[in-house]
Amino acid sequence: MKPEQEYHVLLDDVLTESVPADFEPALLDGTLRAVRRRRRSRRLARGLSVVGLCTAIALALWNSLWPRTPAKWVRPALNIVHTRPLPPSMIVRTKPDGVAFISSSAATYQSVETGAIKDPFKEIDDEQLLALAGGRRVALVRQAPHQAELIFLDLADKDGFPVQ
Amino acid sequence: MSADAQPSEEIAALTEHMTGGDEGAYRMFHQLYFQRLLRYLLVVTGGREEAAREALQLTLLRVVRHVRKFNSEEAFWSWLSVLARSAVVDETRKRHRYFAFLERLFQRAQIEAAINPDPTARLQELLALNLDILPPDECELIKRKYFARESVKEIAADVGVSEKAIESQLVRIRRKLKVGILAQLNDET
Repeated sequence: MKPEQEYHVLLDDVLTESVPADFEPALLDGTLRAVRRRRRSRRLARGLSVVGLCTAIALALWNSLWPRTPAKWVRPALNIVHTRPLPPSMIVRTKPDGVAFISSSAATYQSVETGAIKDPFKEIDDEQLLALAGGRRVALVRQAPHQAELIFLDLADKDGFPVQ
Repeated sequence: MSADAQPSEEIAALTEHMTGGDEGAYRMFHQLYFQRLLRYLLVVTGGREEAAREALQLTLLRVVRHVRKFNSEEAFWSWLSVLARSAVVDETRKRHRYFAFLERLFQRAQIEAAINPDPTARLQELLALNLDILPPDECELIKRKYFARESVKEIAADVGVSEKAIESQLVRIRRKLKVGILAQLNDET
């Protein structure tokens, strides 16, 4: 035996010293159980694939030998709806020219504009007032500083007269 | 026969049978690679026996799940060692989820160190170192048993003690050697 191999044997003995005696057989058992499990699952997978393949072939054969007859199409029952004309009293009709149209245009109306009148009254003094009388007999009577009365002395002038 | 000496044809046949789910092939694989993988994992885990055993269990399950045909022993061992390393990383992550990042950092350095060198060679070096520091009578006993290939019966008759006494002494010495080797592996990482 080579010295190297002798060391090998000694090393194996040394390293397995105090290793539980059942460790190696237990490990082998575990490995073999895993092998069996794997074999079973492989067999199952293979079996399933064979079954699948057989089923596919059988279906293909079935279809080729007995082609599928088209299923009868059943027409659904019809629902008939009847209609009737409405009574004339319920009908609202329209007719042309029933409504008078009024059209407007710029020529038919005149626009009137209103606005503020500037200085509607003209203030005149006493002289101008008396001048308006135009030689008629009048008298201006002052009753208060801002209150005065024009009196026509001729009764005929009371109803008014033209002003020049 | 050790796994290292397996000819390529035998490895090809073995792995092909394993792929087919042959239990006999798995028994043979177990016989050939159990010790080697355990040794390798002891180095990768830095001498942590419990972690190495858990990783070995996971590695073997992964072998069952992913095995394929390999044409050379070298390629097969390379694949096995990748599975073993990833099993160590996954086991560590599972056990210390919260410290996964830190663990991985250490683990990576440890694994990187373990990828290239032959773990068996490293273990043999450590074994030789530990043999050297054994007391002379214990070293002598080991040499007679393992290197001179003397049987326990012969040694016992020569020393004048019972075979059982020699067996117990050998157990004690092997445990001492193992403790020394694992401690040194742990120190290295």
